[in-house]
Amino acid sequence: MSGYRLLKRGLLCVAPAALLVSVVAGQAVAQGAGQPSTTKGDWPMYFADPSGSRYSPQDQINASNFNKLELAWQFKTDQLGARPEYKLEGTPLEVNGTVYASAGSRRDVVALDAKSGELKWVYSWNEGLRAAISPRQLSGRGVSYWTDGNGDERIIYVTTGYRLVELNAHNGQPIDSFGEHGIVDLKVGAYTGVIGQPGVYKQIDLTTGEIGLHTTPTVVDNVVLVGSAFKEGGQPLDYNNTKGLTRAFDVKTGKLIWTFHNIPQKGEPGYESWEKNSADYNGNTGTWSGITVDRDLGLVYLPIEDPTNDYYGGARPGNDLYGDSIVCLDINTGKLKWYYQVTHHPIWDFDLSAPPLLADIMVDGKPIKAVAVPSKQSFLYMFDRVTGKPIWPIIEKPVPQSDVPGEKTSKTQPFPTKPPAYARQNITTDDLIDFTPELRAKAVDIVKKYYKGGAMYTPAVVSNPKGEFPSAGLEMGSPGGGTNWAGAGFNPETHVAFVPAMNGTGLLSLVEPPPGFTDNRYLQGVGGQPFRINGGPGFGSASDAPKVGVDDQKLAAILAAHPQVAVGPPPPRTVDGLPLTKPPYGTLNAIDMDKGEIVWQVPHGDTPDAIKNNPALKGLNIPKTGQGGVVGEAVTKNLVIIGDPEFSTAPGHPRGAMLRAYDQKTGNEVGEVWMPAPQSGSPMTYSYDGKQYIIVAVSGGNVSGTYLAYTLPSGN
Amino acid sequence: MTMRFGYIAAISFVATIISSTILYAEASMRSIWDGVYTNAQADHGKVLYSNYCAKCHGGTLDGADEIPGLKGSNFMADWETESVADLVTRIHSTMPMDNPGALSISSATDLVAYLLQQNQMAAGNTDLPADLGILSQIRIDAEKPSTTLTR
Repeated sequence: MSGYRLLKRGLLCVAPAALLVSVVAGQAVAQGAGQPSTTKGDWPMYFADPSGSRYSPQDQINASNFNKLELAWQFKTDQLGARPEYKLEGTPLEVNGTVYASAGSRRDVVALDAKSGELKWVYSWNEGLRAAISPRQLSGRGVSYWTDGNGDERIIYVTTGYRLVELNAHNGQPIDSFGEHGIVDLKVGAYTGVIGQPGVYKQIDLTTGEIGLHTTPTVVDNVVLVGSAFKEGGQPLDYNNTKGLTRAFDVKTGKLIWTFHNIPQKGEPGYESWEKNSADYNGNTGTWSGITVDRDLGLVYLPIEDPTNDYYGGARPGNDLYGDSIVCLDINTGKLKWYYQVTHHPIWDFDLSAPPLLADIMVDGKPIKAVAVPSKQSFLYMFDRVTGKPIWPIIEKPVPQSDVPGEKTSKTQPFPTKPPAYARQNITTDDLIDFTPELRAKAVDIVKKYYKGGAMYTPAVVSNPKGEFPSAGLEMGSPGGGTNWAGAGFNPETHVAFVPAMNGTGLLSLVEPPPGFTDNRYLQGVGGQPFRINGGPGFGSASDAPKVGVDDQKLAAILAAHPQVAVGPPPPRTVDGLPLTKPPYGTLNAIDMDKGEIVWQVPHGDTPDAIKNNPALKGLNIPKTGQGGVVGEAVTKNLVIIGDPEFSTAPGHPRGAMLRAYDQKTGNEVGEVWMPAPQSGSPMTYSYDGKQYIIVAVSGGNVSGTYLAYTLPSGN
Repeated sequence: MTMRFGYIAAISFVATIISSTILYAEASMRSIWDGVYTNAQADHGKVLYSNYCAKCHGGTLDGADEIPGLKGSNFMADWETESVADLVTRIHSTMPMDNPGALSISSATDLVAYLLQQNQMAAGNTDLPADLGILSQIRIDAEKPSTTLTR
């Protein structure tokens, strides 16, 4: 009897509790003969290894020769999917001479020769409407690899339409014995409402139900760990949205091993943190970023996101566990071991966005198995990953309170004492643009006229319908602040984490949606401007999607009955086209995890052309500003390798972006290599047949998705 | 007779020079700062934007999380030194994401007029022509060039 039919009849429970599969933990399996590893020169996981380090101990490419790197090969993705992709976010894998990657606007899987880039096979599946209206589009962020160490090699990934697929790594053919001929339908078991309550429980529609994923599963030993993601969260149409799930499947058979309810069911711990039983009828709270694993301990670490409605929590009073929490589960059973919520009653879009880093460190002479969690709010939250105890005290401090009707903010939020914040968290006058006194004055004026707050955890405001003060709550943060999906990395030998960060403003504003459109009292919007659904990329934005979404039709009908007219131009969000806040716009930060201290911080990326060439700034000596954008890294023995997120034209270079190498000890840039477009996917590195390579995904502007592979010139 | 013939020849010669000059000047690059669109064209582009683009790129062109904004320094950095033809082609062949090809070259050109208006380039007296050849000779500059290339 399939799990789906069990649910339909209202029987308990999603996770067949009888199916507890013991996972073989311990060193022996993964390090045994036939298992790839970074020590062998492979890059077998999205983030290199289960700890999320993005580290490989390669050193053939080093500070003395990084500048000599040349293009070994490139793989253009134009012909994959119905039209070219311009947002290639994948990190490829390499195992024993073959590169595996996701690519193209239909999320195909490709296998390439690691030395020449020659295409060996492609797997492509047109899933039709189901993929067309998926909330998470394009090629996603990578694929996963598994082997039994004895010739059975598989590529595992999640399709746009949210299916778990296993392919034979040798030829790209689906593994017949996995799931249904290679496929597990992940939408089965995704639901709204309450398990066990007929009429309230609802399995989501397998075609139109909202759930998807960009992040590739984490595959360790015989377990495939899969998260869940939804549409961008500022404008949910129904707060009873699909509930976030984290699940484990058997890698050989596809059988569901366990389900963890990111939103607790009644009777589960954490349920009472949602007041008025609101856990029953709220959703989202997915695990959309990477899951990391401690194999020896048999523990998995989930970074969990906001509950439904990123900026207004009136329908979910209370702390709303496990929203914005780091959660530790037993890999065998999915049972909760510990959790820590970094943002109570989440209404800032402060999803935990990055894979938690599992570092073994030494604090005051004592070894600690730690987990370090990068964040959009620029804290690296550090805990003992066995017990969940903060390594250094985290203090609950009072924060600004919301005045939005129906909202009830948490009186306090947790503030780590160590390590210190690695990027800006507040916006004061001093944080505003300061290239010239005139620009500063303009910025002060704009803020005074339209924007409220500036302190960390400033809540959203109801946006003034006349376009006057307050148009939005002002804060440093999501989506332009801190560390986002590309995450961070660390060197396990030195215990130093390298954390990219942005210093970008967030404007949090709410409006009442047009009458009859939604049961949400407030959605993200700008007062005095016609209401719009912010659609994509996602729901309805694939090339096969229906031309006008159901929601658009509904909104169009309502707006026809209640026309909305703009009161005037929207409030300015920039100062003469320049960012409201002062640089640095993007940074790379080295944090000593043993001491909880920042070792160095550097602006990352050339000063944007718009600043360099701005006539109002002519003659000014502006220090390198770095660039705001989400970029990740590869960490090698001595280097941190990370590319620029924007186009720029530096002297001596054609317009493009640079792939940079930083010395881990000092933060000095020791090399740079030109790329034709910005980095859009995090780099990786591998060594094969005596040569080390770096692959990075670039795309943007007029340059479609390309994987670039660099190596040293022969004879070097 | 000879004089008239010579006169005609001279006029023809001069006319050829003038037309060659015009053709040559047409072939040299203009900038988006040279008043290359009209406000009426941008108004039509605004309607198209509202119907096809605002859903993802936002009513105020600010974009969101994974979607680029279409005004300001980041957008200009993405397109600096490319030609208007490049941008029109990109829009025509890949946008909107859920219906690429729905916007003809002509519509995509009107959209670009709207984007230029929103990015503070001044309007002029002539529409941007829906002609990729001509549009390939109009360069996207983030800042107004110090020497304006005009006909």
